[in-house]
Amino acid sequence: MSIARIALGLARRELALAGIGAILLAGVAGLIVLQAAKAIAPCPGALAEGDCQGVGAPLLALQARSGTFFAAATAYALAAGIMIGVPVVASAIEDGTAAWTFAVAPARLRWLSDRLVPAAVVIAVATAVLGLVTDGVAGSLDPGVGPYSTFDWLGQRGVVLVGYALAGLSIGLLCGALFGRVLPALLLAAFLAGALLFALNALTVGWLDSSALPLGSDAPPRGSLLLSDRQGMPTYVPGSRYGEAVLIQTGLALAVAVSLLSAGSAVLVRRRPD
Amino acid sequence: MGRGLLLTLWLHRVSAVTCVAAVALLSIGLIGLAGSLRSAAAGCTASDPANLSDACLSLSLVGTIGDDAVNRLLPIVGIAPFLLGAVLGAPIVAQERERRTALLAWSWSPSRTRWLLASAIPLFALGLLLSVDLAIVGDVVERAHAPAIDASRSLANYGDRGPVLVTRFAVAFMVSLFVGTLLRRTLPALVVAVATGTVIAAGLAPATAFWVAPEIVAGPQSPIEIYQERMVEPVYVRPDGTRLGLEDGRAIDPGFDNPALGRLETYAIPGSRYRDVVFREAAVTALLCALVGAGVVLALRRASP
Repeated sequence: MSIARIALGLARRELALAGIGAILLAGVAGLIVLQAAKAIAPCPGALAEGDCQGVGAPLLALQARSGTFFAAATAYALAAGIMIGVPVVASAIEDGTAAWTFAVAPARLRWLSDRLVPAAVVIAVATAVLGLVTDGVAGSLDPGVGPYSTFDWLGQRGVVLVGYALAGLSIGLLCGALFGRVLPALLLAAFLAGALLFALNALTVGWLDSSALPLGSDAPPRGSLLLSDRQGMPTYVPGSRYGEAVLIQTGLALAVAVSLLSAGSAVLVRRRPD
Repeated sequence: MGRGLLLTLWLHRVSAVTCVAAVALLSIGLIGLAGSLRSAAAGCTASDPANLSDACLSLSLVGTIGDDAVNRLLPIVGIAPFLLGAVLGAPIVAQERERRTALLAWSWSPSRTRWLLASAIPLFALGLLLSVDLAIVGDVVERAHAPAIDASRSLANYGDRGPVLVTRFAVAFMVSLFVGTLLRRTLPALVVAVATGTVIAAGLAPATAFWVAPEIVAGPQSPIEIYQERMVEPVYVRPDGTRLGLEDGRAIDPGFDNPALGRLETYAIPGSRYRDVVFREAAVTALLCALVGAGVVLALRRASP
């Protein structure tokens, strides 16, 4: 317990920043839910396919504006992970305390787990709660469908945010261990995190595209993901496959996190402490 | 003075090299895009008018070509000044305090303000040069995107090109410097600086509509006129003279011909006011820079090394 308190104390500024960010996002989420409730108030009960007079336009406008919130939640998850991961090794080396710290610790990997695990648990719990909040916001913005049957804001809400946070943490750790300096590690980690986000989304959509259904003359079911095949003909993926997409993205993010964590650990074990 | 300049750039070489490399790559990519847009537009001139491609059709009807690529890449130029400001400005004071070299550095210098000027000016100048490059490249892309339109009389892609990028970098740099002076660690300073820059960027985007008074749009407009101007949200003017916002009106009746709502008036800022908008935003951002700069000096004087 005392080791965990020390580790959390060493990361107190980063955790404080993450906490402030989480509070701000929660506040914005609350505002969106309230505005959505106000927009659908003329129609008590669940919205049917043909929604009430005058509800569609304000709700659509709110959905369009909410894209920024979901993007901010995604950026927060990655940034929180990077903020915790980068200074673990980089700060120790830059401060000049690494030589003494590595010598005193039973083993470098033990030192790493003592430093990293408490803060990682805090960030994972925070992003898990954020994932639930973002799913709740998505549900309030499209009450007729529900958050787990629509592809709206795919990759920007739900349990995938935990995967992003842990992947960001591993990226930060690896970059910090490689450079031994906070600033260059942070800049590279930010770039790699952006590339990871792009790659994960592309892979997930590619996976779904491989089994997309042709879109006939009827409108696609609500919550579907609209794509097109190589001939340019419209296809769609029904919203019922949203859970599959989230599992794929989260699994890939966690796989990246584990591999980069192993790589970072390997670099740490072999690295000179200066 | 030259040695001092080189020393400052050496001390902050990571930030400097990263920014220069990023801007260079972005500039090369965008100049390539502008070249391909110009070639495509030239090809449209030689095409058979009865058999135009989608791109040439867009050029002939709306006056623009390559909308998809430009809409994806040009916004990166718009956010780049804020990122440059954060990366160059935040570590100046924060790094000295984190490495515990501030005591030595500040005691060797005649005053902390002199030290700050010596440290900040080279990086500020570097950032200004990079912003000027981005401003020029953004304009080059816009002129290739809309070849028949005078970019200096158009508000299209206003925040993603032109002199406004330089003034926005200045504000972002000063705010990041202030954040870095307050926080003792480089990493939190960078994160807060980026977050603050994002908020400033988000605030400046709709502020364009406030620098000059919008004018009422009388009669139908051509697609080119619509492209050049900056639309402001229309309002309903009721029979009793009161005004109702568009969303409130549509919540009452989604149609546009309800007599109780009154007539719908559309407002826009014409493209010809581009220079006025740029100058007024520059004046406000210069004032903001001065205020924040004063805050930096005060915070630095009170900061413990």
